[in-house]
Order: sequence, then structure tokens, then C-alpha cells
Amino acid sequence: MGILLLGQPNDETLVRFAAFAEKHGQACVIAPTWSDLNCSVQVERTGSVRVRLEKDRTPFQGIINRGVSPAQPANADQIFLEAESLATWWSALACFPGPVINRPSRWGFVPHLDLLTLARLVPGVVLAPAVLSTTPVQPAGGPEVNIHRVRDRSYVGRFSSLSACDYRRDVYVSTAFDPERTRALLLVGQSLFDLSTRTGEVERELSELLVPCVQVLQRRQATFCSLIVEWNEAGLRFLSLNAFPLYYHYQRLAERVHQALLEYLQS
Amino acid sequence: MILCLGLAADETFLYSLSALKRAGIPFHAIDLVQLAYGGDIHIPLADLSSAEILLHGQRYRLCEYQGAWIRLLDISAGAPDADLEHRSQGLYQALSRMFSAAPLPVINPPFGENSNFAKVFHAVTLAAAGKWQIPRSCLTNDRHEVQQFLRTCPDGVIFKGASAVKTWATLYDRQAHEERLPLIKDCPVLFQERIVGPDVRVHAVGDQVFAEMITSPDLDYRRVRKNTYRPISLPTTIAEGCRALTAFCETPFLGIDFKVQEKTGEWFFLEANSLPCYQGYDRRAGGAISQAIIDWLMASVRCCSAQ
Repeated sequence: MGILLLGQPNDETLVRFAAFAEKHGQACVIAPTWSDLNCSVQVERTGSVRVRLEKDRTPFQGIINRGVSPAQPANADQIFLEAESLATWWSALACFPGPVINRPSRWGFVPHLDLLTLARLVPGVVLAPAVLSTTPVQPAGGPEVNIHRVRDRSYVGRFSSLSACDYRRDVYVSTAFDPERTRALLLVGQSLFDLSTRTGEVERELSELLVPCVQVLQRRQATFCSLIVEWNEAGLRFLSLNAFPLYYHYQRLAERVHQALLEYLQS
Repeated sequence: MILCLGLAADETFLYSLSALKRAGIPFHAIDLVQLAYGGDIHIPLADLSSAEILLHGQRYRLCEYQGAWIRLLDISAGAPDADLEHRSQGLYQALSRMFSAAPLPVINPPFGENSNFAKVFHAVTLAAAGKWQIPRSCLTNDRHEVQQFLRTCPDGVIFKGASAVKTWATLYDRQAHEERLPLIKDCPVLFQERIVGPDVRVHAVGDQVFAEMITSPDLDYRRVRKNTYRPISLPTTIAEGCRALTAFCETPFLGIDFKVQEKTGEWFFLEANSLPCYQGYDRRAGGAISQAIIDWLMASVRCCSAQ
């Protein structure tokens, strides 16, 4: 049985994982479309569900969900097709009986990771100074300010290095931060890695502080996501959460990250 | 003061504003299209009460409102150019985030329940919360699976879309549809056992429920005007399930659809909508649904003030 990697064939994160898994004897299929797959979700009156998801009559044992990136639909038929395709993946992956990395839930097809939601669900969570606005701003509270677009989380640049003509009509999140305190963490299944350290080990005190947040993320089906935090003697505060970690974020620890993904999918 | 956000072109939004006006509740209304064209937002994540929306020289500060009645829709697909499309998408996401965590009562928090984009998963998950049964269903791109499913449904099978895009429920007719079954290979379709009997639409507002039974000459009552609408009292288990569902979804206002099987009287949950077009039901109920929404908002305001 193989592993289904739902995403685009040029997604380097999936390609690198597939190479690792195959080196360890685990077949993988990167599948952006239905063309080679059979999918059925059968539901009884009681709500019991049977999912059949297979390629060439061979069922999958685990799935990584990296989202479906719809092409720019040109007409109503294509919009309909994209919506129906997403709805089917959503139902099939959410109800799939085996392990799914970033399983769809009732909050989103990919785990819905929002700092405001985290702060609402975990008492005591402190957010870094950040502002959602139609023009980038400079919130007080850190020597540097990062600017991202809200709609696709894409990085625009540092506030200090951008001029007004760099901004198109859009909505931005401006986040103040201190590069000296920033830690990049990666949650993979049950494992947490500190990408800011050489070994990847998370210091015990930081790990303990993060336990309630990690539990909430896991309850929300986030099993492959990055957390950017600031941490020092002054405390812990959150800068961002992202359910689409990229290979180059964890390249140095790729073996261990891929091993953790594989173990989760074979569990 | 209540803050209302929605589309000036959305009849349901306008109807809600009229209800507030009739009830004498002061409100400010913001049109999402005007906001996309010429408005601004400033939302500090660590202090939502100081969030502001700016439009036409007016400053709408979240801390000045006791509640919000919103119908946020992603209008980016209708934008005339890429810049406005991006801005509309950004505004939709930013406002959704803000109103899902805002420190005031909101009808409805946008991130409470999003599974309606995937009908099968939605039905399974919400039916479990309401302790209801659902029609047997088969979502597939495999025609052989469909043929097997057809054989197990003595009252026939309907098919429809599996997503939130509106489609009509259609009765499967072997003569008309069998030769088209191979087409599902590239676009999976939702097949469902036919439940013969009337529809019921319930509007749940917190703990209050309002129900109408809909008898239609058509398979899909939304397609025709000659329907009969009759207010009904809900069986206790159904009413309790509806109340449980608003809590489960963290969504105080839901439109919940059922089918009632004529020959057995059994109820089957179909779906719940967190942005229901409720005005027709409200008019027939003499404004009871909109009054319940207003009561919920004002009661929550009193509750928040007391804390």
C-alpha cells in the first residue's frame, strides 16, 4: 500500500519526502487530479462511513494533505468542477480511516491556523504586536517589522526596506518582532523540532510552555505546521502559524522531519 | 449600538437591517463593496477592542458596539480588476478573523462552522452532534460503485453536487442517466437514497427554534413556487438536537434542513446553513425569527455587561 501525497507535482516539499520514503521502501503517489484514482465515500443512515481511495485497485494507507491549488477558473463550469473536486477530497480525507497529515476538519480543508483563534482557545497565549490593515504599518514592540499579504500569506518584505510604491491595493499583516528572540518550530505528528538550533531539539522549558498550544493544534488536525515564536526570559509570544511548511525551512533537519512524517503515516 | 456588515445587494442583509429598524435598535451598516473600493481597516491582533473600520470619513470602532450582525461574503470573484479582487479577498479574510474572535456577541462568527463546503463530511459530523440519522449516501467517481448503490435503494436515488455550489436534487433515471455515468470519473457526484416525504426547515437562534414543513409538487422544493409552508412544532429530540447544534458549531443562528419520510415518519438531517436566507420564513412567522436574533444579541450584550 502506498502513501497519497495530495498536492502539486512541483511541490518540492512533497517531492523530497517522496524520495525519502521511496528510499525506505515506501511507495508514494503525488496526485493533483482524479485521473488515476478511484474514490468513494459511502455513508450509512447511522453516520458510519466507508472510504475507498485507491490507484490501480491498490488502496492507500496514509495521506499527506498539502491542499489543492485550483487553476484560475475561466468559466462557471470550471468553478463548479473545482468546488466539487475540493468537496470530495475534503469528505474523503476527513473520513479516511488511516493516518492523514493535516486532515481536513470542519474548520477548513487544510488546518485552519489563526493566531486569534489560538489566543481564544488557550488562555494566557500572548501574540506579538501585529496589525491587519489596508496599508502596512509599524506596530511598536520590536526592532523589525515583517509585512505579509493576508490573502495568501506571501511575504512582502521588511517595513523598513519598502516604500509606499511597493504596496498595491491589498490587505497586509504587519508584525513587529525581535530577530534575536525568534524561534522557528516545526510540529510533525507528535514531534516538535526547533529549526533555530543545530540539533533540532526543543529546550525543555520552551517545550513545556508550548504543550497547551500544541494540544490545540493537534485537536484542530494540524500535524505538519510551523510555529514562529519569540522566547526569552521575558516570556513567550506568537508571531505566526502556518500549515504549509516548506522544505527549505527544515532542509538542515530533513532526514529527521521526513522520518517523523513517515512514522506518523505508517502508524 | 449594533454593527452590521454585509452586501447592499444581498436581500437577506437588507431584510435584517429592516428588522433592526422596526425593533428600534440603533445600528450602523457597512456595505462590503464600498469598503473594498474605498475603505480601510486597522485591526491590532493583540487588542481587538481597538479595531477600526474606516469608510467615507466615518470611523467605526469595535469597542463602541454591543454586538455585530454580519453576513460576510467573499465578493472577490466579482471584482472588476485584480487589485480589487486581492483587496476584497484580504478584507474578507481579515474581517472573518476579527469577527471570529471579537470580544462582543456576533451573529454569526465566520469561522464557527465551515464544513458546508463538503456536504458528506458536513452531514456526518453535524448529524452526530444532533444525534440524527442521515440518508444513505455515496460520493464517488466510480460508476461501478454507483450501480451497486442503486441496487440497495428501493425508493430510488437522487443525485446532486457535493459542494456548497447550488445544484438541484435530481431523481436518477436509468434511461436518462446511465449512459452519462462514465462522466463522473473526472467529477465525483453525490448519490443519495431518496427519502419520499416533505422537507422541514428549522431556524435555530440560540435556544429558540422555528420550524416549517414544506410540501412540494417537485423533488426539490427550491425549484418551484407552488409549495405549501406550514408551521410545525418539532419533536423533542429534533428540537434538542437543533439547540445542541448551535452550541456545537459555535454559531448561534442556523438554518437546518430535514426530510421526513412519509411512510415511517422518520426524520433525516440534510444540512445546516450558517448564512440562511431566512426572510421568507420570517415574514410568514410574523418576524419571530428576526426578533429572536435581536433578542439573542441584546441578551448577550446584557450578559457581557454583567461580567
